[in-house]
Amino acid sequence: MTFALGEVLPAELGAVLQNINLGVLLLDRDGRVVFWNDFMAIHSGRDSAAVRGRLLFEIFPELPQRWIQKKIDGVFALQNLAFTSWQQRPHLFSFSGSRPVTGQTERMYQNCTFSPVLDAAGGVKYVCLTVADTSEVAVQQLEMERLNRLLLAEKSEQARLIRKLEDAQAQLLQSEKMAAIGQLAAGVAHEINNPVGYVYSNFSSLEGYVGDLFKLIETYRTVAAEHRDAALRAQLEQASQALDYDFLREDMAALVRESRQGLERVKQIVQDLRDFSHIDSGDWQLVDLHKGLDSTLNVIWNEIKFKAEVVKDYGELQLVQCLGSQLNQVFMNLIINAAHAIDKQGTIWLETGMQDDWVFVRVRDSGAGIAPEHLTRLFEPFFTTKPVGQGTGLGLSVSYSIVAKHHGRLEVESEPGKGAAFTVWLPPRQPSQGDAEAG
Amino acid sequence: MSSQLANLRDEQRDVLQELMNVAMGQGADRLARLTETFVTLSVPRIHPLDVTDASLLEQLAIASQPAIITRQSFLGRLRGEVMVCFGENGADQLAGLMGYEGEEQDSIQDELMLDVTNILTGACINGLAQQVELKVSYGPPALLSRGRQLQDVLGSQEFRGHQALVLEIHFEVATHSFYCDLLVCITEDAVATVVEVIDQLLSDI
Repeated sequence: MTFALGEVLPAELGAVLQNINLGVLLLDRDGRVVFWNDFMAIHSGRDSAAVRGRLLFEIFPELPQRWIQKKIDGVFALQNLAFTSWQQRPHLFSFSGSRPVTGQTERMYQNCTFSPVLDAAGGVKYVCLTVADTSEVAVQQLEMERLNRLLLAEKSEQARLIRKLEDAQAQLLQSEKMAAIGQLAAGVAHEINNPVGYVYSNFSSLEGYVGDLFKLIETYRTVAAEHRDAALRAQLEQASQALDYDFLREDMAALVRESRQGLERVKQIVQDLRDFSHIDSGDWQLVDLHKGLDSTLNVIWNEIKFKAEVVKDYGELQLVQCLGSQLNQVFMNLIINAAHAIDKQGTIWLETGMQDDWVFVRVRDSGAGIAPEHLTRLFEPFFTTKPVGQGTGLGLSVSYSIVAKHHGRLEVESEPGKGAAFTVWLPPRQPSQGDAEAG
Repeated sequence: MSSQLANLRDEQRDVLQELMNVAMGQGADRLARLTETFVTLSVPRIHPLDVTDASLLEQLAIASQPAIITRQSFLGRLRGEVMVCFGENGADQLAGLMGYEGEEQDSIQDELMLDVTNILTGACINGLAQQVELKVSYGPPALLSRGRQLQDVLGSQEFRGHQALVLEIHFEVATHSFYCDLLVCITEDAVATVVEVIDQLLSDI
């Protein structure tokens, strides 16, 4: 059943219905259009006369037919309103945007209401569907949501940067600490170097003098043995026996020899400390990495000698342009870690060589290995598996950043229970200043 | 004013309970006819109290479980809001019944819950309004919160005016293993209207 507006409504009310800034539709139980106001005619481009009596789903084939039918059924059965919101269903009717010039939206956002139109007996006769254009609100809200997402993204990015900054600061602190220790070691080494130097050279003289003294005594003894005076001979014999002269002579030589060896070791340690801290070489130099490895090993020998046998497998290495003292720090970290990974007694292999124009130094151990879930976190600052107070969790992260500064890479391989191998890969020459960043 | 409802006499309370029972019965009947399934609406438990009263919220079975909560206003002389608590799957099981088909489960979840909220609110409030012969109109349903407990949600809202009548209704569509809970809150001034109607009914008996 359809009707013309003028037949059922006074002209004024009809005008209101036509001019109201809402789409107004009357639908019957099957979804046939009974009435259709000007808003609908304007936005759909279909005149009221052309659609009256036709099914809504025919006029707009894109509408979800079953869903709309359920809405209509619901209004009839429950005598109740039904709603759609632009947030869940932005464009029930595919009308073009209501801001054709300045708007960014191609289609009109709509809030729709299905309401029952009752007949005189109180039964539902039609469903009135009103369509409200909510484009303004929708566009503003969507824009605000977009800005909100941007802000949130920015906030999390800032949080990430702050974390990074904290990590960097921690690394800086650690490397400054190491530098300070290096400086201290170098200072101590220097102070020890002088007294040890003159003690050592005095000792060389002393060794000569002692030799001369014994020669003199030998001469006396030879001459005395040929002396006629038996009493003098007996007196000399008695004196040398009382003082255990034969033992004294042998032991004296041994003492002097061993002391000299001891002094030589002190000299070596002092030299190693100086090499290790490279206090005299703060800048990039061509360095023999084997020397660095050896002096590092000497410095930390006490920490590892009871736990591990160290097997050196040095290959041919060219001189590497590097900050020697910093690389020594890396070697020290790796070797001490290797020793810590060994529970009772094991082996540490130091391997070096060249491969594809890269120099490598590998520290391999027969220790406990690294759990797979820890492998990805090894180089994170503060990551440690050692008990509280025994590891700062900074050693490997500092090593990593030192190697990165050398445009090299630090790699790890491990099988739990079978040990781990850390490999430092370095380019023999640093890229020139201009493209240093790219490396 | 809130004491007016909190201090309902026993027979007033019985009348109110009866009004709600009838309203629910009608609601269930219409829902069953609409969806062509068997629908159960529980006998409403009436708590004529202050919603801001924390001890009431503790009494409510639904208040302590995390849920998706929707709300819808009913307006007129009978004024208030209905809150519907859905489980974490919302009303997904009802998608077919409500005419949603061939659509992404995610994109329809919200709209489906809003539809169910609207239907339940209508069924429940229309039934009551018709008996007390008052006209009501409805605001559109909206999402109130997701993944929080009703207790927290209500606790964090600033209530305008005192809420007085809380009806706890359990809604179940057994064949689709779906259920949700409704909380009907009526504003202070609407309580006077309801009490007036109750007294009218009592004097008619």
